[in-house]
Amino acid sequence: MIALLQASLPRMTQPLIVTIALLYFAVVAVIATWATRRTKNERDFFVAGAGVGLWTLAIAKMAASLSGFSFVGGPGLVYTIGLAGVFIILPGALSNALGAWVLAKKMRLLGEARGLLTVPAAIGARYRSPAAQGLAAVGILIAVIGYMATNLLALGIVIEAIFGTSLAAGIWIGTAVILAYSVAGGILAGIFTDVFQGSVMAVSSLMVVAFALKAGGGLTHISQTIMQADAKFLGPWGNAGPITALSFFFVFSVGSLGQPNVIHKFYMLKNPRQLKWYLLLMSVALLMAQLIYIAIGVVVKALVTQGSLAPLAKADQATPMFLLHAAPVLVAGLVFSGVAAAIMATVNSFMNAGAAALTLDIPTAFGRKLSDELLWGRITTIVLAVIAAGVAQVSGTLVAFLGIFGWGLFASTIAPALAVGLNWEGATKAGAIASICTGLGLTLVGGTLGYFKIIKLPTGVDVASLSLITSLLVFFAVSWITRRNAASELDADIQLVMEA
Amino acid sequence: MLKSSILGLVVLSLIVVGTGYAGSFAPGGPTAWAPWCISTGTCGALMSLMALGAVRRGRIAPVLQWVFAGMFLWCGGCFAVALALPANEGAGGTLLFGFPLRSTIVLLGVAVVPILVFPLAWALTFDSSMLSEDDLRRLREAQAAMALGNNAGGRADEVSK
Repeated sequence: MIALLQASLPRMTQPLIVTIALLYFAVVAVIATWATRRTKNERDFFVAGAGVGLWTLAIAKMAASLSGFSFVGGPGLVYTIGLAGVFIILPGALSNALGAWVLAKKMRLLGEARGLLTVPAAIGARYRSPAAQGLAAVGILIAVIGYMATNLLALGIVIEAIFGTSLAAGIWIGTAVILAYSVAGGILAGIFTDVFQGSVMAVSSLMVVAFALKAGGGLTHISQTIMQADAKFLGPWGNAGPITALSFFFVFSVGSLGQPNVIHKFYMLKNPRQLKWYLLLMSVALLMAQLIYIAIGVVVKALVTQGSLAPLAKADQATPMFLLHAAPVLVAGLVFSGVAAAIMATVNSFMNAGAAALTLDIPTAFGRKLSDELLWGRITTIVLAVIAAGVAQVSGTLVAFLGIFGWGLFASTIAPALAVGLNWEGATKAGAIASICTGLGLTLVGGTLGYFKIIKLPTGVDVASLSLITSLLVFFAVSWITRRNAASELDADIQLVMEA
Repeated sequence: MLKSSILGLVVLSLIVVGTGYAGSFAPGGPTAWAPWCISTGTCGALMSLMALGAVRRGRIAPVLQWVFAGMFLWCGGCFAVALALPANEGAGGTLLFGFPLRSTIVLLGVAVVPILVFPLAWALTFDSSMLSEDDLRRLREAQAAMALGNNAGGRADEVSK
C-alpha cells in the first residue's frame, strides 16, 4: 500500500541546501541535548514525565503521525494514481475526531490511574490480562521494525541526496543521529524535537503549496490541463478505482485507532482538561502539513502533461523534481529538512514504542519486571535501531513490504481490543486475545503470501483492510460468546475511568 | 440500552463494510454495490464509534447525537453523490472551486467540513459531556479512596497471614 521513497533522489548537493540541512540538524541537536538533561527516570524516558502541554502534544502528534511518506511517497502516489492516492490522508479530520472521542480522555485518565507507560499496558490493564498485553507488544514489535526500516531507508536516501554520501552511509548516519537523542533522552527528547520538526514540516508544506499553485498557473488551469489528457486522474477515485480509494479510506480512518506512536502520546498530557482544544489544534496542524501531499502530485502531473517537466523515471521523484524545477533553493532546502524532520519524528516514536514493548510489556507478560527499566530502555532502543538499519540496508524491495504491513498490523492488533474495549464493558479478555491473534496471523500470513505472489487479491483489496475488518468482527463475536466473563475481568478503577 | 444500540450500529456498519469487500471478490470484478457498501459502512463505523466514545452515564448530549447522525448522512451522502453522478472529468468537464465537481464534493464533504464541525462540537460539549473540573476531582477522589481501601485490605491480609 505505501511504498516509501524507494528510488534514489536527484543530487541536491548545493551549498545553500547543505547549509539549511546542517542548521536543521544543529537545532535538533541543541533541543535534544536540553531535553536529555531532563530525562531522569523511565517515566521521563517513555511518557515524557506525563508533563507535556497541549501545544506540544498536538504538534508532536502531528509530526509523529506523518512520516516521510507525506512529503515524498505520497505526492508520488498521487502523481501515479491520481486522487485515489489522496484517500490515505482524506480521513485525517475524521480519524482525529475518532481518536478524540474514543481514546483521548480514557487513555489519559487510565495512564494517570495506573501509571501506565505503554499502549499494550492499557490493554493488559483493561482485561486484567498479561497475555493480551504481551501479544499486543509482539504485534507492535514486529510492525515497528518494518516501519523503522522503511523510514531509515528513506532518511538514508535524503541524506545521500543532500550531502552526496553513499546510501549505506546515509542510512547509518541518519540512524546515529536519531539514536543519539532517542537513547539519551527517550521520548522526552523526541517530543521536544518533534515540536521543532513539526513546525518545519508545516511551514515547508505551506510554502510548497504556494509555489505549486503559482507554477501550475492556478487550480483551474491545473485541472483543465490534466483533464484534457487524463480524464480519470482528477476524478474522485483517480486512476485506481473506487474500491482502492475507499479501502484506503477505511484502513486509514478506523485503523488510526491502533497506531501506538500517536495514541501513546495521550499519556503525556499534563492536564486532561486541556483536551478541550486538542482536536482543533491537531486538525489545523495536520491540515497544514498535509497540503503538500496533494499539491505536488497534482501540479507535477500538470507540468508533465503540458511539457514543462520531463516525465518522471520514478514516482518518488515528484517532490525533488518539483523543487528543483519550480521552487527557490531556499524552499527546497527547507522542504528537504522537512522530509528529514518527518522521518526522524516518526522513527523516534517507533523506537520508543518498540523499546517499551521489549523492556516493559513482554517481561510483564511473563510475570517479570526488569531491574533497571531506564537502562534496558536505552539498550533495547539501540538494538532495535541497529536491526532496523541493517534490514534497511540489505533487504532491497523487502523493506517496502515490511513498511506496507506495519500500519495494517498496528490497526488490526491494537484497534479492536483497545479502542472498542475501553468503551464497552461487555468486551472480554478472550475477545481481545482472539482479535489480536487474528490481526497478527492474517497480516503476517496474508502479507507474506501476497508478497511472494502465492495469493492474489482483487484490485483495490489489500491484506490490511481484510485483517482489520476480520479482527474487529472476531473481537465482537468472541466477546459476545464469552460475555459471562466480562464483569469479572474489569477492575473497579478501570471501570471508573471508562465511566468518567 | 443506548450503548447496546450504538454497539449494534458499529457491528452492522462493519458487516456492511465486510459485505462490500466480499462483493469485491466476485468473479469478473467487483460488484456495482461493493463501493457503496464500503463507503456507507465506513462512515457508519466512524460515527457510531465516535458516538460510543461519547456515551456518558447512559446518555449522549443531544447536540452530539445530531452531529454524529448528521455527519453520517453528510459524509455518506457525499460519497453516494460521487458514486451516483456520471463521470465528467474529461476535457470541458464541470469544475467547482477549480476542481472537477465530483471530486470537490468528496474533498469538501469528507475532508474539509469535518475539520470545521468536529473540533467545534468537541470543544463546545467538552465541559458538559466529556470532562469538567468537577468530574476530574470526583474521579481522582474515588480513585484515591479505592487505592486507600486496597492498601488497607492488603495490610489486613498480611497481618492475618
